[in-house]
Amino acid sequence: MWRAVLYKELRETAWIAGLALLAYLNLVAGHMGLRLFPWSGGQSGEIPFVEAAFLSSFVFISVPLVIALGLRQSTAESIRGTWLFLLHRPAEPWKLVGLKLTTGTVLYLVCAALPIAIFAWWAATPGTHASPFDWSMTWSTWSVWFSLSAMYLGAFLAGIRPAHWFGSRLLPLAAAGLLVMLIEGPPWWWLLRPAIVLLVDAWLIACILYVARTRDY
Amino acid sequence: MPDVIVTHRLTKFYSRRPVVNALDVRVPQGSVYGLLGRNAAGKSTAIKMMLGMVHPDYGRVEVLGEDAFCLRPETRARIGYLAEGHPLYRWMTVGEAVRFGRAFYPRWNDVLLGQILDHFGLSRRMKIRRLSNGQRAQVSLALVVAADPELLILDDPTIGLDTVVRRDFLESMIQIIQRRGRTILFSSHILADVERVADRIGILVDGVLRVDCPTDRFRDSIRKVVLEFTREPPALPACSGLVSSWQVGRRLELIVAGYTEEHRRLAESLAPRSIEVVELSLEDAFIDYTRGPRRPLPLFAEEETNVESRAL
Repeated sequence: MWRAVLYKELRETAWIAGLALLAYLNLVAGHMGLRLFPWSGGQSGEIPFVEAAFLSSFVFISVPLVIALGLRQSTAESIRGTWLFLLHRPAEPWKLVGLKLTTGTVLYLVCAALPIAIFAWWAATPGTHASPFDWSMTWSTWSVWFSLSAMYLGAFLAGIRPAHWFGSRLLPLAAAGLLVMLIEGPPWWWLLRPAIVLLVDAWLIACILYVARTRDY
Repeated sequence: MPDVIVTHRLTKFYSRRPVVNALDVRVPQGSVYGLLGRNAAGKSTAIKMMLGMVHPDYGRVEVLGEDAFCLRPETRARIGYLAEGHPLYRWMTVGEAVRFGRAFYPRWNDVLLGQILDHFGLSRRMKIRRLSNGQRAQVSLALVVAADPELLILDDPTIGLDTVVRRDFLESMIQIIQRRGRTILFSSHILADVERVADRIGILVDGVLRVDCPTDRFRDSIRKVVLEFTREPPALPACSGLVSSWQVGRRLELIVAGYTEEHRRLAESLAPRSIEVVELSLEDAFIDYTRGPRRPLPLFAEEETNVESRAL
């Protein structure tokens, strides 16, 4: 049963993940001084993970990825009318929705972890660039990577939550985006960041499951 | 026979308008119950409430002895549901849809499914997005039946199908699903469909269940009484069972539920030139029962004006 839902979710979101992976690959190749496509330019010469270029490009790709994933998994079922089909399967509704969330979250985390891991591995390899490297330098990028999971959940909540007006429907997504910016802003609470993100994620998951149980389909 | 679906004062409001209003329905085990109503009469909302997909503002529903909003997965597995519009994942092939469905049901009948797909001439390699509405309805029905449910709830299963496909689909549906002990609740706004299948009907008018009786009894109880007058028809006194009345010139047409001698005496008291009592087909009975007050269309008035102006 779980394999069937997992397969369905992966099939429906594979194209989003595929596009994001291509963009990530292009980003990493560019920062490693390689030209993957004729139009992409190599940007070697920077200090990996210290200068903001990699992180800002990473965010530029990751934000559309999490939003697309969250909205695709939630609104597509509403648009096609397939919530009725899916939720009538003999399984607890919260488990079906939970499995969707798990698939989306893991898909994002894996997709977005790949470029960071590849770039960090390249940076850690001696002779690839003329600057020092320590694994702790990747921390801020990993922190953003983890924080964006809240934005994925916010997008999912925006998609599943009924609202009369488009603007108010996007409130959970906007709120999650704001929270991510707040969490990533002040440097003095860096140790607390994972715990705060986990709390926000847990709260968003609770909201999604509550809405999924109480809304009309 | 125990009741497999019981609703008690089921009510749902959308934008302060009651789309389902104090619905009390009992569907006995083994029956084929046709839920009728015009578009937006509340049929789909009522069915969704019976499956726990829409939350009522008031009232409760029991399906197979359980509260519809707390159905255990084992109980849900005993209910087959064909939602309006036959929603399926369009990127799937028929085979993938079958594999997806089979993964959830312990009593999945692959032999029966194969027979149904063969009967409809559907290959498992066909893409669902390339199927016609009729074929998608057939795939949906096959998936519902293969799970071997005790209770089938079909929400307007023939919607969007042309007359021939609809007839074929219904005949197949009767053949496939009418097995001993199986209960079927299906909604429709097409009377001919219901007449062929249902042994009991419920008619929803503006969210209110106006009729709940055996199909034959409904057909037999509705009469059209046509009164011809030599003068302007008099005002009609209130009487029980009068569904609607319509005046056309010096003619008064009454639709009466449960026509009795009392109605005849009342009609005679109006001193008409003639009284004609017409038996109605189920379709005519349904139309007259649910139509409500009729008003002349502006188009007719315009045509009359045109005719007059041409004559001048």
